[in-house]
Amino acid sequence: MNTMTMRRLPSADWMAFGVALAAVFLKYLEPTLMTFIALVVFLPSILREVGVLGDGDEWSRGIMHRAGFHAVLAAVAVVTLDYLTVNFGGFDQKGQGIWPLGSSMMRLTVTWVFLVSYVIQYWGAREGVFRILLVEALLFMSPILTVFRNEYPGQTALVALSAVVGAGIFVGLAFLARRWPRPGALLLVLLLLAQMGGLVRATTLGGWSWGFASSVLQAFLVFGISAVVLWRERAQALSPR
Amino acid sequence: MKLINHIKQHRARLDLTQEDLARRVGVRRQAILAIEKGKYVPSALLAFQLARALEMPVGELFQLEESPGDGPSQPTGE
Repeated sequence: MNTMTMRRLPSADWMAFGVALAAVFLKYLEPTLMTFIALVVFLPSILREVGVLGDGDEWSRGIMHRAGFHAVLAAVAVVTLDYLTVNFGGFDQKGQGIWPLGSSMMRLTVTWVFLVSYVIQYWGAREGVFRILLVEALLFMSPILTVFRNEYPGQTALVALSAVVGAGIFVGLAFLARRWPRPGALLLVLLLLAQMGGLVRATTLGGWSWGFASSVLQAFLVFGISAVVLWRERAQALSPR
Repeated sequence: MKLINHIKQHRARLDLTQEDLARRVGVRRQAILAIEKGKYVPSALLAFQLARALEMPVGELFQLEESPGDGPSQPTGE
Protein backbone atom coordinates (compact mmCIF):
# COMPACT_ATOMS: atom_id res chain seq x y z
CA MET A 1 0.00 0.00 0.00
CA ASN A 2 2.82 2.31 0.91
CA THR A 3 4.54 1.54 -2.37
CA MET A 4 1.37 2.41 -4.30
CA THR A 5 1.05 5.70 -2.45
CA MET A 6 4.71 6.48 -2.96
CA ARG A 7 4.34 5.85 -6.68
CA ARG A 8 1.23 7.93 -7.15
CA LEU A 9 1.85 10.98 -5.01
CA PRO A 10 4.81 12.40 -6.91
CA SER A 11 3.28 11.77 -10.34
CA ALA A 12 3.77 14.73 -12.65
CA ASP A 13 0.11 14.62 -13.72
CA TRP A 14 -1.16 14.98 -10.17
CA MET A 15 1.27 17.78 -9.42
CA ALA A 16 0.23 19.64 -12.57
CA PHE A 17 -3.41 19.12 -11.68
CA GLY A 18 -2.86 20.45 -8.16
CA VAL A 19 -1.04 23.55 -9.41
CA ALA A 20 -3.71 24.22 -12.05
CA LEU A 21 -6.49 23.87 -9.49
CA ALA A 22 -4.68 26.17 -7.06
CA ALA A 23 -4.28 28.72 -9.87
CA VAL A 24 -8.02 28.56 -10.62
CA PHE A 25 -8.76 29.33 -6.98
CA LEU A 26 -6.12 32.00 -6.59
CA LYS A 27 -7.14 33.81 -9.78
CA TYR A 28 -9.51 35.80 -7.60
CA LEU A 29 -6.49 37.21 -5.81
CA GLU A 30 -4.14 37.37 -8.81
CA PRO A 31 -5.90 37.19 -12.24
CA THR A 32 -2.67 36.72 -14.23
CA LEU A 33 -2.36 33.22 -12.79
CA MET A 34 -5.00 32.11 -15.28
CA THR A 35 -2.46 32.65 -18.05
CA PHE A 36 -0.32 29.79 -16.80
CA ILE A 37 -3.01 27.15 -16.39
CA ALA A 38 -2.80 25.81 -19.94
CA LEU A 39 0.98 25.67 -19.73
CA VAL A 40 0.84 23.80 -16.42
CA VAL A 41 -1.70 21.31 -17.82
CA PHE A 42 0.43 20.57 -20.87
CA LEU A 43 3.79 20.68 -19.09
CA PRO A 44 4.00 16.95 -18.13
CA SER A 45 3.14 15.95 -21.71
CA ILE A 46 5.67 18.38 -23.16
CA LEU A 47 8.36 17.04 -20.82
CA ARG A 48 7.50 13.45 -21.80
CA GLU A 49 7.68 14.26 -25.50
CA VAL A 50 11.10 15.86 -25.20
CA GLY A 51 12.31 12.95 -23.09
CA VAL A 52 12.81 14.74 -19.77
CA LEU A 53 10.08 12.72 -18.03
CA GLY A 54 10.37 8.97 -18.50
CA ASP A 55 7.32 7.90 -16.51
CA GLY A 56 5.04 6.90 -19.37
CA ASP A 57 4.22 3.46 -20.72
CA GLU A 58 2.90 2.70 -24.20
CA TRP A 59 -0.71 2.88 -23.02
CA SER A 60 -0.42 6.29 -21.31
CA ARG A 61 1.58 7.65 -24.26
CA GLY A 62 -1.24 6.53 -26.56
CA ILE A 63 -3.79 8.29 -24.39
CA MET A 64 -1.71 11.44 -24.32
CA HIS A 65 -1.37 11.46 -28.10
CA ARG A 66 -5.08 10.86 -28.68
CA ALA A 67 -6.01 13.61 -26.21
CA GLY A 68 -3.62 15.93 -28.02
CA PHE A 69 -5.19 15.00 -31.34
CA HIS A 70 -8.67 15.72 -29.96
CA ALA A 71 -7.42 19.11 -28.72
CA VAL A 72 -6.05 19.90 -32.19
CA LEU A 73 -9.38 18.98 -33.81
CA ALA A 74 -11.23 21.23 -31.35
CA ALA A 75 -8.75 24.05 -32.02
CA VAL A 76 -9.36 23.73 -35.77
CA ALA A 77 -13.12 23.90 -35.16
CA VAL A 78 -12.75 27.05 -33.05
CA VAL A 79 -10.49 28.73 -35.60
CA THR A 80 -12.88 27.84 -38.42
CA LEU A 81 -15.88 29.19 -36.52
CA ASP A 82 -14.00 32.35 -35.68
CA TYR A 83 -12.89 32.80 -39.29
CA LEU A 84 -16.43 32.27 -40.57
CA THR A 85 -17.96 34.77 -38.17
CA VAL A 86 -15.37 37.42 -38.97
CA ASN A 87 -15.60 36.99 -42.73
CA PHE A 88 -19.22 36.07 -43.26
CA GLY A 89 -21.44 38.38 -41.24
CA GLY A 90 -19.71 38.19 -37.89
CA PHE A 91 -21.28 39.43 -34.70
CA ASP A 92 -18.52 41.87 -34.01
CA GLN A 93 -17.48 44.72 -36.30
CA LYS A 94 -14.07 45.02 -34.69
CA GLY A 95 -12.72 41.95 -36.37
CA GLN A 96 -12.81 39.78 -33.27
CA GLY A 97 -15.32 37.25 -34.55
CA ILE A 98 -17.75 35.40 -32.39
CA TRP A 99 -15.23 34.88 -29.61
CA PRO A 100 -14.38 37.75 -27.37
CA LEU A 101 -10.73 37.48 -26.39
CA GLY A 102 -10.14 34.90 -29.14
CA SER A 103 -6.80 33.61 -27.95
CA SER A 104 -8.12 33.06 -24.44
CA MET A 105 -11.04 31.12 -25.84
CA MET A 106 -8.66 29.01 -27.89
CA ARG A 107 -6.54 28.29 -24.83
CA LEU A 108 -9.62 27.34 -22.86
CA THR A 109 -10.85 25.00 -25.61
CA VAL A 110 -7.56 23.23 -26.09
CA THR A 111 -6.98 22.84 -22.35
CA TRP A 112 -10.46 21.51 -21.55
CA VAL A 113 -10.58 19.13 -24.52
CA PHE A 114 -7.15 17.73 -23.66
CA LEU A 115 -8.05 17.32 -19.98
CA VAL A 116 -11.48 15.78 -20.53
CA SER A 117 -10.21 13.42 -23.22
CA TYR A 118 -7.19 12.36 -21.12
CA VAL A 119 -9.18 11.81 -17.92
CA ILE A 120 -11.96 9.83 -19.62
CA GLN A 121 -9.50 7.63 -21.48
CA TYR A 122 -7.38 7.11 -18.38
CA TRP A 123 -10.14 6.27 -15.92
CA GLY A 124 -12.85 5.01 -18.25
CA ALA A 125 -16.24 6.67 -18.86
CA ARG A 126 -17.86 6.35 -15.45
CA GLU A 127 -14.83 7.01 -13.27
CA GLY A 128 -13.57 9.70 -15.65
CA VAL A 129 -16.85 11.63 -15.70
CA PHE A 130 -17.08 11.17 -11.92
CA ARG A 131 -13.74 12.89 -11.47
CA ILE A 132 -14.50 15.62 -14.01
CA LEU A 133 -17.74 16.48 -12.22
CA LEU A 134 -15.95 16.57 -8.87
CA VAL A 135 -13.48 19.03 -10.38
CA GLU A 136 -16.44 21.09 -11.64
CA ALA A 137 -17.74 21.07 -8.07
CA LEU A 138 -14.40 22.39 -6.84
CA LEU A 139 -14.41 25.06 -9.55
CA PHE A 140 -17.89 26.08 -8.45
CA MET A 141 -16.50 26.60 -4.97
CA SER A 142 -13.79 28.97 -6.19
CA PRO A 143 -15.94 32.17 -6.14
CA ILE A 144 -16.07 31.75 -2.39
CA LEU A 145 -12.66 33.42 -2.30
CA THR A 146 -14.32 36.66 -3.42
CA VAL A 147 -15.77 36.78 0.08
CA PHE A 148 -12.31 37.56 1.41
CA ARG A 149 -11.91 40.43 -1.04
CA ASN A 150 -15.33 41.77 -0.13
CA GLU A 151 -16.18 42.13 -3.84
CA TYR A 152 -19.88 41.82 -3.23
CA PRO A 153 -20.59 43.78 -0.08
CA GLY A 154 -23.89 42.83 1.45
CA GLN A 155 -24.12 39.70 -0.70
CA THR A 156 -21.41 37.64 0.94
CA ALA A 157 -23.80 35.04 2.26
CA LEU A 158 -25.50 34.74 -1.12
CA VAL A 159 -22.20 34.24 -2.96
CA ALA A 160 -21.07 31.63 -0.44
CA LEU A 161 -24.42 29.86 -0.49
CA SER A 162 -24.62 29.71 -4.30
CA ALA A 163 -21.06 28.34 -4.44
CA VAL A 164 -21.83 25.63 -1.90
CA VAL A 165 -25.19 24.71 -3.47
CA GLY A 166 -23.69 24.64 -6.98
CA ALA A 167 -20.82 22.45 -5.81
CA GLY A 168 -23.26 20.17 -4.00
CA ILE A 169 -25.30 19.69 -7.17
CA PHE A 170 -22.18 18.65 -9.08
CA VAL A 171 -21.10 16.25 -6.34
CA GLY A 172 -24.56 14.63 -6.41
CA LEU A 173 -24.48 14.47 -10.20
CA ALA A 174 -21.01 12.88 -10.08
CA PHE A 175 -22.18 10.03 -7.86
CA LEU A 176 -25.39 9.59 -9.84
CA ALA A 177 -23.52 9.45 -13.15
CA ARG A 178 -21.14 6.84 -11.78
CA ARG A 179 -23.97 4.64 -10.53
CA TRP A 180 -26.53 5.23 -13.31
CA PRO A 181 -24.74 6.48 -16.44
CA ARG A 182 -27.75 6.98 -18.69
CA PRO A 183 -29.86 9.05 -16.28
CA GLY A 184 -26.62 10.91 -15.50
CA ALA A 185 -26.12 11.56 -19.22
CA LEU A 186 -29.67 12.89 -19.55
CA LEU A 187 -29.18 15.23 -16.59
CA LEU A 188 -25.96 16.50 -18.12
CA VAL A 189 -27.80 17.25 -21.36
CA LEU A 190 -30.45 19.13 -19.37
CA LEU A 191 -27.69 21.09 -17.66
CA LEU A 192 -26.22 21.92 -21.06
CA LEU A 193 -29.59 23.09 -22.36
CA ALA A 194 -30.10 25.23 -19.25
CA GLN A 195 -26.71 26.80 -19.84
CA MET A 196 -27.63 27.51 -23.46
CA GLY A 197 -30.90 29.06 -22.28
CA GLY A 198 -28.87 31.30 -20.00
CA LEU A 199 -26.69 32.32 -22.91
CA VAL A 200 -29.64 33.18 -25.15
CA ARG A 201 -31.07 35.32 -22.36
CA ALA A 202 -27.72 37.01 -21.73
CA THR A 203 -27.27 37.70 -25.44
CA THR A 204 -30.69 39.32 -25.57
CA LEU A 205 -29.92 41.44 -22.54
CA GLY A 206 -26.41 42.62 -23.20
CA GLY A 207 -24.55 40.71 -25.90
CA TRP A 208 -21.60 38.39 -25.63
CA SER A 209 -19.18 38.55 -22.80
CA TRP A 210 -16.08 36.57 -22.00
CA GLY A 211 -17.69 35.01 -18.96
CA PHE A 212 -20.79 33.79 -20.79
CA ALA A 213 -18.93 32.61 -23.87
CA SER A 214 -16.43 30.69 -21.78
CA SER A 215 -19.08 29.11 -19.60
CA VAL A 216 -21.06 27.96 -22.65
CA LEU A 217 -17.93 26.57 -24.25
CA GLN A 218 -17.05 24.84 -21.01
CA ALA A 219 -20.56 23.42 -20.77
CA PHE A 220 -20.29 21.95 -24.27
CA LEU A 221 -16.85 20.54 -23.66
CA VAL A 222 -17.53 19.15 -20.21
CA PHE A 223 -21.23 18.32 -20.00
CA GLY A 224 -21.67 17.51 -23.70
CA ILE A 225 -18.68 15.17 -23.99
CA SER A 226 -19.39 13.60 -20.60
CA ALA A 227 -23.01 12.92 -21.55
CA VAL A 228 -22.00 11.26 -24.82
CA VAL A 229 -19.40 8.98 -23.25
CA LEU A 230 -21.72 8.01 -20.40
CA TRP A 231 -24.47 7.13 -22.87
CA ARG A 232 -22.09 5.08 -25.00
CA GLU A 233 -20.61 3.36 -21.95
CA ARG A 234 -24.01 2.01 -21.00
CA ALA A 235 -24.63 0.87 -24.57
CA GLN A 236 -21.32 -0.98 -24.58
CA ALA A 237 -22.04 -2.58 -21.22
CA LEU A 238 -25.36 -3.88 -22.54
CA SER A 239 -24.00 -5.25 -25.81
CA PRO A 240 -23.05 -8.96 -25.84
CA ARG A 241 -19.34 -9.66 -25.52
CA MET B 1 -12.84 -10.29 -35.09
CA LYS B 2 -11.24 -9.19 -31.85
CA LEU B 3 -8.41 -10.05 -29.58
CA ILE B 4 -9.40 -11.57 -26.26
CA ASN B 5 -7.06 -12.35 -23.40
CA HIS B 6 -6.97 -14.47 -20.25
CA ILE B 7 -4.78 -12.19 -18.21
CA LYS B 8 -7.22 -11.91 -15.32
CA GLN B 9 -7.48 -15.69 -14.86
CA HIS B 10 -3.74 -16.27 -15.02
CA ARG B 11 -3.06 -13.31 -12.76
CA ALA B 12 -5.41 -14.88 -10.23
CA ARG B 13 -3.64 -18.24 -10.67
CA LEU B 14 -0.36 -16.62 -9.63
CA ASP B 15 -2.11 -14.56 -6.93
CA LEU B 16 -0.95 -11.29 -8.48
CA THR B 17 -2.78 -8.00 -8.19
CA GLN B 18 -3.06 -5.66 -11.16
CA GLU B 19 -0.51 -3.45 -9.45
CA ASP B 20 1.92 -6.39 -9.06
CA LEU B 21 1.62 -7.32 -12.71
CA ALA B 22 1.91 -3.70 -13.80
CA ARG B 23 5.13 -3.37 -11.85
CA ARG B 24 6.54 -6.57 -13.33
CA VAL B 25 6.04 -5.40 -16.92
CA GLY B 26 6.68 -1.69 -16.29
CA VAL B 27 3.28 -0.17 -17.02
CA ARG B 28 0.61 1.59 -14.98
CA ARG B 29 -2.13 -0.35 -13.23
CA GLN B 30 -4.71 1.40 -15.43
CA ALA B 31 -3.00 -0.10 -18.47
CA ILE B 32 -3.47 -3.62 -17.10
CA LEU B 33 -7.10 -2.78 -16.33
CA ALA B 34 -7.66 -1.50 -19.87
CA ILE B 35 -6.03 -4.59 -21.40
CA GLU B 36 -8.03 -6.97 -19.21
CA LYS B 37 -11.27 -5.22 -20.16
CA GLY B 38 -10.36 -5.46 -23.83
CA LYS B 39 -10.29 -1.68 -24.22
CA TYR B 40 -6.63 -1.58 -25.16
CA VAL B 41 -4.73 -3.95 -27.41
CA PRO B 42 -1.11 -4.04 -26.23
CA SER B 43 1.88 -3.93 -28.56
CA ALA B 44 3.58 -7.21 -29.41
CA LEU B 45 6.41 -6.31 -27.04
CA LEU B 46 4.07 -5.76 -24.10
CA ALA B 47 2.08 -8.90 -24.98
CA PHE B 48 5.27 -10.98 -24.78
CA GLN B 49 6.27 -9.28 -21.52
CA LEU B 50 2.85 -10.06 -20.04
CA ALA B 51 3.10 -13.67 -21.18
CA ARG B 52 6.53 -14.01 -19.60
CA ALA B 53 5.34 -12.42 -16.34
CA LEU B 54 2.37 -14.77 -16.22
CA GLU B 55 4.47 -17.79 -17.23
CA MET B 56 2.28 -18.51 -20.24
CA PRO B 57 2.84 -18.87 -23.99
CA VAL B 58 1.67 -15.67 -25.63
CA GLY B 59 -0.60 -17.63 -27.96
CA GLU B 60 -2.56 -18.97 -25.02
CA LEU B 61 -2.76 -15.67 -23.21
CA PHE B 62 -4.08 -13.80 -26.25
CA GLN B 63 -6.48 -15.34 -28.75
CA LEU B 64 -8.46 -14.15 -31.74
CA GLU B 65 -12.21 -14.41 -31.36
CA GLU B 66 -14.42 -14.27 -34.43
CA SER B 67 -17.68 -12.36 -34.18
CA PRO B 68 -20.83 -13.75 -35.84
CA GLY B 69 -20.71 -10.97 -38.43
CA ASP B 70 -17.17 -11.74 -39.53
CA GLY B 71 -16.63 -13.19 -42.96
CA PRO B 72 -14.72 -16.37 -43.76
CA SER B 73 -11.22 -16.76 -42.37
CA GLN B 74 -8.21 -15.39 -44.21
CA PRO B 75 -7.29 -17.40 -47.31
CA THR B 76 -4.32 -19.65 -46.72
CA GLY B 77 -2.72 -18.72 -50.02
CA GLU B 78 -2.26 -22.33 -51.05
